[in-house]
Amino acid sequence: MMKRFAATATVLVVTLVPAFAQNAAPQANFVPVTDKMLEKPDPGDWLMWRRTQDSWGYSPLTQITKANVSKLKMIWTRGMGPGLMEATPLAYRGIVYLPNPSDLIHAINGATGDLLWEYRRDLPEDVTKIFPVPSINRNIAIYGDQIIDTSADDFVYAVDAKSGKLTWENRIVDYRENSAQETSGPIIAAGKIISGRGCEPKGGPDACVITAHDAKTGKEIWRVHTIPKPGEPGNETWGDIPYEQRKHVGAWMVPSYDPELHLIYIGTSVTSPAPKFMLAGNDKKYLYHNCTLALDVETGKMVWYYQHIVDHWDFDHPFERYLIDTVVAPDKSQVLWINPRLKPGERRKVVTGIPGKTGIVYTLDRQTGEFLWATPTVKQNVVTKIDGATGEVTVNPDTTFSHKGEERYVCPSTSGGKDWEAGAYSPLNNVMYFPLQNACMTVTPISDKPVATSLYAITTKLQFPEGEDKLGTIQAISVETGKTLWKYEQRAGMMSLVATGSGLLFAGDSNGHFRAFDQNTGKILWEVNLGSPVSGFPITYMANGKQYVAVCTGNALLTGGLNRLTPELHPSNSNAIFVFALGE
Amino acid sequence: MKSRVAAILVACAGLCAIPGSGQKPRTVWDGVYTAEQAKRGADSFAAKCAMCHGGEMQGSPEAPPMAGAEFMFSWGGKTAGALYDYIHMNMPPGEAGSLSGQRYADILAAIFQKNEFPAGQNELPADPKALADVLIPKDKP
Repeated sequence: MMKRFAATATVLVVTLVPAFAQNAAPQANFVPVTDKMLEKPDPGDWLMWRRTQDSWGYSPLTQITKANVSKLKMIWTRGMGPGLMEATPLAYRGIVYLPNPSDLIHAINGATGDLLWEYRRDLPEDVTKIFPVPSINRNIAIYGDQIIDTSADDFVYAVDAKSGKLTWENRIVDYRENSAQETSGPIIAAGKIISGRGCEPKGGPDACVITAHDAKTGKEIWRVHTIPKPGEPGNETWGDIPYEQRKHVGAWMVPSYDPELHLIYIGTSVTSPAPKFMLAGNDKKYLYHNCTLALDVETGKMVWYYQHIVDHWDFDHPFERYLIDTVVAPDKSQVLWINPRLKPGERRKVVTGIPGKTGIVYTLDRQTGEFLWATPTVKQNVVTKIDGATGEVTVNPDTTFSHKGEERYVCPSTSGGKDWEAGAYSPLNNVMYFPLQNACMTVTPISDKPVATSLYAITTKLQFPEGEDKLGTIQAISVETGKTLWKYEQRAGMMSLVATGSGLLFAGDSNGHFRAFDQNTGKILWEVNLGSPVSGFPITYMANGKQYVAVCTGNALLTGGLNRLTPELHPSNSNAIFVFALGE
Repeated sequence: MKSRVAAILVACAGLCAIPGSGQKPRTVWDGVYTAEQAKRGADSFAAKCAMCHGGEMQGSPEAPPMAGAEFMFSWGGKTAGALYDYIHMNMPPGEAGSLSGQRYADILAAIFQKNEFPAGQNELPADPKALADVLIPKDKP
């Protein structure tokens, strides 16, 4: 009789909570994530946006190789929530934690695709009125037994990684007063949640902050303003513009972190309006827009900054920064701007990559911010010179403005060059790979002064550079020499990359194609059509001894814009995650 | 004599703006949509356009505002038909032409309402030829 009762009870439990309880087993022995694990993650895990704090976008996994990648098969897929898609899954001990648009998070069995739990944030209805694109949710973080993110209503919050239940939340800014757009989530560095954000012009300068919160409790530790106040260093770079009228210098992507130097590296964006003649003139710098900022992780103190360009066209510079220790020997035959003090064979700790939409590679000493070298990739006409000795950037006067209605031909475009789609670095050959777009535009100021109803007070018209019709390109660039080792070009725009320890480079495009390339040659080794723009950031992870590659598809602002240049391509717009592994 | 020439010139300017129309051209300030149509259009805009252009049509870095100074700079001096054609042929990205003609016209009505052009008694037709006679003036009359 007793046995029979027990059997009945079991059936009842299974019947009442079928979807979640059946799949809960993988989380039974959850091991909290520590700072040490984040600094040196297990090869099978993907614990933050670009997997490691140095933002390499590199996984050491080697089960999928150049020889067997052609046998990749789809293992599972899931539809995702509605909204703009730029998601990065996390993977920890075989569980995938997936940020869907609009602060919806799923925990999924990484081997089977079965849902374990769901967290859906109850967002106020007016976020869709206050913010232009509140649904974008690029990434989440993991620490201890918590999944951590910043929300569309400007909170930092944590949910239990085992259950998806909210554990704490803390308001960063009042989303109605100091409206800040949290399209990216944080990274965890030294036990702190480090996050930046875009800041809406109506939110004023106090919306433009980079913050650190305690990763266990959510308590705020520091906040740094990206716009100086009167009396602060840099105030003079805004001329006579009152503090309240200094707007929109956001830090809307994810920082990098060097645990030895205790420094955070984060990039900033353009001002609103973009053309500087509408502010205090074209000769001022308007710090700290379009800068790399090096911040002390404990205090937020700015240790150094470097300004990449004074921006008149919406050429943001918040993209991923690679932290690499390398010989610095820029090749004069290919690298345009070089620090004359560099010694042959010199080894440096650098921060490098393409930090902004111009497509220019910048390599700086990451201890001091000293300029080392820079060189363009795709066609650009906004920078005419960078002084190698000082790093001072000269802007082409033929691309700046002096009055309303003045049309300028500018390369690349507000879609890049480079945009938020991330590249990858491979330590196998000390090469970084960038997804880029060959695009130019005409730009016209719509006014002689700031306009409340226009974010940048310009209109732009996207076009191909003269004589070109291939929009997307991947370029492989040596970190040591700056030489371009190979280029891949195609009609559709390029999306994000991931590099692996077996010499593979996975890359998606705006037409829905997802491919594996040979890191050394650029040869395509595998390809699948996923149907919709591959707008998510691909990752690779291990579950039950098997290597998986995961990527999300769906409509993004960027892919919608790029696809206007390739009207013969007709991808659909479905939000979904696709996961691949080797077939039997 | 002088004023008579001026009167003829003014009349000619009206007639010559839309060749063959034979009357003063209609503009978006003449009440070319209905409030009910704009309400339907606002619902369609929320469902199909707001994700990129913003819930208040305020625009975003990759999708221009559909109301205010930037909209007027881009579309002032063009016709409602040109705007209808552009939206129908390009929007939503990846799904161009996927809505009915009526829904595109309704969305146009919502855009006009957001720009504070007045509502009238007749709906905007889903007919680019008919809309070609409706001017979006650069400035408020």
